Amino acid sequence: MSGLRRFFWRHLGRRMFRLTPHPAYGFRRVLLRLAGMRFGANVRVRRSALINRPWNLQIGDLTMIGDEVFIRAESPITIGSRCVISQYCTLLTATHDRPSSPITIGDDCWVATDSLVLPGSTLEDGVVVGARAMVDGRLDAWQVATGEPAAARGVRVLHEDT
Amino acid sequence: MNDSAEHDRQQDAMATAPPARRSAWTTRQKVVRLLWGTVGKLGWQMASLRPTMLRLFGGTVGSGCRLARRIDIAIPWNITLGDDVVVHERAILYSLGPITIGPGTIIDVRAHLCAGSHDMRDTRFPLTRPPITIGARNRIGVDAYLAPDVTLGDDCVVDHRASVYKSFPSGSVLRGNPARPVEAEA
Repeated sequence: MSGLRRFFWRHLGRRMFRLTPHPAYGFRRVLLRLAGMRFGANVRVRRSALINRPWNLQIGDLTMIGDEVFIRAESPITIGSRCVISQYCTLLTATHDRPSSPITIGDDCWVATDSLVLPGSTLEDGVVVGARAMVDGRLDAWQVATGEPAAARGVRVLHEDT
Repeated sequence: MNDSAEHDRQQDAMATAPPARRSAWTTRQKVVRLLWGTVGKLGWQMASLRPTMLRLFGGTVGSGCRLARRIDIAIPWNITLGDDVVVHERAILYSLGPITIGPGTIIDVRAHLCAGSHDMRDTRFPLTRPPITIGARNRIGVDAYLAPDVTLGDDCVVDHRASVYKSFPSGSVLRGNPARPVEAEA
């Protein structure tokens, strides 16, 4: 069964995915479901996102994956609920200098535009990764991290009235 | 203050926040964006038509501008270009907010001007549209990044692959991530 899924995604699914119109999130969810991705309600993936192995992905509710995001899921990638992976981000689970290792992203995270998340990284709940950052390692909950490599530079505190 | 209790409280606030009902865009804007992605893209294929296309969709373009074919312009009516602006291939003008580029500025290959963000302290994570303003005769290097709310003066040089998060005055030479001014070499 999983072999069939892989065959479907590699030869048909990902091509159909790229041809869908922008608002066709529902149809893209069907394609990803057929390819074996597991995800919650109202997950939105933009059509120009590149996911090489959707069957290694697990995503919570309401998460958004932006335009031109590249997800290389050789190992499992877990993304929580209400996350945003902004446009042009790269999530890698394999590079040539280290063994392939999973990426874990908690709930309510925001990986801002053009960021790079390296293999084995863990983002705890509520982490914000600034634009153009490079994440390598673990980031603690509700921190705002920027830079190369990304380091915590502040705490994310919600507005008082919420 | 107990950190993990505060984290739990914030997570509850996020999880129970009512969803934002209204889109950040009006119906009219959505229609124009659709036209920009279809008709606008077709018109963009001819180099001589590009400034006209951009003006047609509400942008302001000076004379003598050179715009490459594979530029990514998110919202055309937020673009203001001075005279003789050069924008190279694969540049990204993510103009959710107004992007103003002064005369004679060069935007190099794959440079990314990002005039859109989110309010990360709000449970609904609303879109924000801060402006980007750059002056005259600047050079934005290959794969450089300008964050929302950045203002650059005149005659600045942003080095290749630099990431600019703060505003800088005229004549700055910026390098690195986060970009810092380089002292003029004697």
